Amino acid sequence: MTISRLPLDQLHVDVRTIERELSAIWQRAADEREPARTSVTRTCVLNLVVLTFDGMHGVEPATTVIDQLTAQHPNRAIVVGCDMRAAAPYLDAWVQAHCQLPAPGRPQVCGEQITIEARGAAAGQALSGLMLPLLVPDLPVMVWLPACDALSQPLSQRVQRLADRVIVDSTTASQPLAMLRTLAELTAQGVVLSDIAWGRLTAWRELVAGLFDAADHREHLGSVYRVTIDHAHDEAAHAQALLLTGWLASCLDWHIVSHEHGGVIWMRQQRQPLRVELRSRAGHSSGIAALEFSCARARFGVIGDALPDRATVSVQIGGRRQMRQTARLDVLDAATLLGRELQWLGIDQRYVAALRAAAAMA
Amino acid sequence: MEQSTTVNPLRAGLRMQRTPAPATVVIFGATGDLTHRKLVPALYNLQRERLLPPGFSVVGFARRDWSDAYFRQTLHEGAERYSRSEIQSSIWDDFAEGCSYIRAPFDDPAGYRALSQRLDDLDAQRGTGGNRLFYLATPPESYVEIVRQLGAAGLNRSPHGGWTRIIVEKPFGHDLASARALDIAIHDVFDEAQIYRIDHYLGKETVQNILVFRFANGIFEPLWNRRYVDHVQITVAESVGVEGRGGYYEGAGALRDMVQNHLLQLLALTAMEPPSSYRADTVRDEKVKVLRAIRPIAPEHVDQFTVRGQYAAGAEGGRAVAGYHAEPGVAIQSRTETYVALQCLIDSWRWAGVPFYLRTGKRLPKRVSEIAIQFRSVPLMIFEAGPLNDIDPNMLTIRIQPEEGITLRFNSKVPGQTTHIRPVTMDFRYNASFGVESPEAYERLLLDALLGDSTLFTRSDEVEASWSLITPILHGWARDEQPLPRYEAGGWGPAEADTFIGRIGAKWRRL
Repeated sequence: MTISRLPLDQLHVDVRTIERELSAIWQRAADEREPARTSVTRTCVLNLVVLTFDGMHGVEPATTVIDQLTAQHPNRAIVVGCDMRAAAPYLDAWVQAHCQLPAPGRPQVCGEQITIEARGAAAGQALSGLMLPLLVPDLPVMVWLPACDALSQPLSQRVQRLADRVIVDSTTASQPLAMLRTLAELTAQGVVLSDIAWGRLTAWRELVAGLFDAADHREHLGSVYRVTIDHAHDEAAHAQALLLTGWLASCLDWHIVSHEHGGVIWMRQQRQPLRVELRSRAGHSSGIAALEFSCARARFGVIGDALPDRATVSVQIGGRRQMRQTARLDVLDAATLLGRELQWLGIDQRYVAALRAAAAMA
Repeated sequence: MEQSTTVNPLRAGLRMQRTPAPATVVIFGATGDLTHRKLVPALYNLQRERLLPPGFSVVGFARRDWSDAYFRQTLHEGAERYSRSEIQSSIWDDFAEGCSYIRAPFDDPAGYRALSQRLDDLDAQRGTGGNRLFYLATPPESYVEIVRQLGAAGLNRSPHGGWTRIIVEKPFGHDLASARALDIAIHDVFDEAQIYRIDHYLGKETVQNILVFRFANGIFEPLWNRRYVDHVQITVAESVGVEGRGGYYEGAGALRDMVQNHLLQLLALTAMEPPSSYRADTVRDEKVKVLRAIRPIAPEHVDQFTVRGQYAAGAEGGRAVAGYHAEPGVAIQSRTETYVALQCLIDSWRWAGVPFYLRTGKRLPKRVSEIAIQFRSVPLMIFEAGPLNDIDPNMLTIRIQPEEGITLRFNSKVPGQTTHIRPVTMDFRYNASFGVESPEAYERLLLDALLGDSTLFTRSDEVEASWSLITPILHGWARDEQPLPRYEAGGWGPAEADTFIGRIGAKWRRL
């Protein structure tokens, strides 16, 4: 929708000018939509602060995601494209509205975006002071770092203090295993974190949990002696497999005894030893490929199909096949994954427990 | 270590959605419209959303001579047509693998023995653990026989420590006596805790939101009483006619078909006191208190508190439509009401003197359901009334369908040098703030029944309380031999309804 570029002095962005421009674009949108006494549905349920640190390169993909988010999470987005290495300090800002039809025949829903371009260390210093008055009062502040390594930037650390929740994707980190430890430390410091990599595991966790909804299946959990998790052949997928292991360990009260290079983790369930094998599978493109529980008298598995949005759930008790069923495995785009994280405000204790267990094995 | 078998530790503390234990749903009347239009599409969507556990099974039970394969084929066609989401073949195939069919008359004990054997087989083969949900999707005349046969076959209790529940579709009787008789027949076989009387209106998101709106917000409840509320209008309007169901409708009419269940449920949710917790029985205790506090309309006073009407020929969406008398299956001298408006008075400290107007009808201009709370005018108007000022009392509207949302009307100054006042609205629309598609009411209610949550189902005493109100009105109408007022199809009901609400100086909302 309308984009208004603001005439601004170098290193001075006038918040009142931004607010005035936002009002103007809403007025223009309403004017386009006559008749009298009707208006564009302007809704805002949260503030979304997006920090990118590769100049303006990251701004366009982030804007695309925000545009897709608008229908489900109308928000005021403040998107900052930083280039801290630039020699000449520079600040610029512009506003735009995103409008979406949630479904055919439904009213158009619009959100608004303020984009700020900041170059040079001095501009970076000015940014956090600029953002505070631009936030819509009384609404949650979500900070999204599309590149997880940006957590170490001083600006990110300052902005974290404004945030009700910080959203990252640990699979984008240059060292995903080390990132698990960093994230665990941040949660220990009280930062409320969401990891989109954890969100990608949701469908897997639901399917695995579903294996044990039947009481007679749950009885076998006490005799698990081996768990195998197959994953894609990269460190990000290995980190996801560790998160999944951490989740199982925290839910089922498994204690880590030792972990070996090559992905073998020894655990203890009460007094019984339990071996978890994380195996990389060369042909698998990303994330988790399969998970299987071997118990004394039963096997339970979730195996990803050739089709990326399907998995096969299988239960075998006493040597005979009891059940085999196809289930949907969501393959979600960035906007949907981010949108799911935006639904939650408080601390996800289950994630924190899984993350800490995973970090101990990373 | 022996893991606890009462809860699934992998579900504990998760933000994942609720999933019931493996179970079999047995649908009586499985060849019918409800099964194909609503129940199976709802179950498929639950499976697609991973809300049903592996091993979940469906057994259809009906009189027609269908095979398992043909049953699955018709279910597939129904799901293709009516499911809110696309049918994915591999998911459907696995869902269908759990569907089977038993052909038997509803009064044949052999059919129930076959059903019992099938359920045992499913427990063994698919791990359904003795958990059974029976669904009565048949004409109501068959309810008592099916329930009796279930009891005789011992199917009212589960083996293996599982649970057995039964969902009963409306209508729950056609008057107080028949409702009581049905209740006694069902209670002869099932405990109240096993019985889930379904009113699909309670499965709608916005209806559930009435309680959240009232009891999770601090600012509205202090105004929610006789001191601030002038009157309440509850409307459930349908644009369709009887849609070929004239034979059924002749025995029902708008009062039985809509008011006894949907409208009185909406009234109860609007007027109830805060429950002590959000649990099935505490919520239903408060609802039943309201229903019992509604002043009964004696047969001799029906003219004072009710208006009936019947649609005549007219137009719907620009298309000419026939009047009620010309509908198939409708008697030429029929006195069945297709429109009804009522004034209900609630004898409680909170609502004494506040009229609740309920209206519903067929062939009205559009399909819309809402609850409108009209607040009292300010005690002293300091602004002049006149051509520049259009001052209306505040109105809070809870829209249930379509465009679910909440609107507050208040007065505002028009910018300018004069004090020119206009009413404006603050609009909250569900899909604008949440965007997500709401699940179908049947999805929510089936899932709740599988989970054993009866909050959104109607309890026996609620049914009895509502029929206690409706039956004297039916008796009063039966004595009246005057012709029913007519209204043009596509209009907002008979002129008498406008006069009726006009007695308190109010008007029906134009929707």
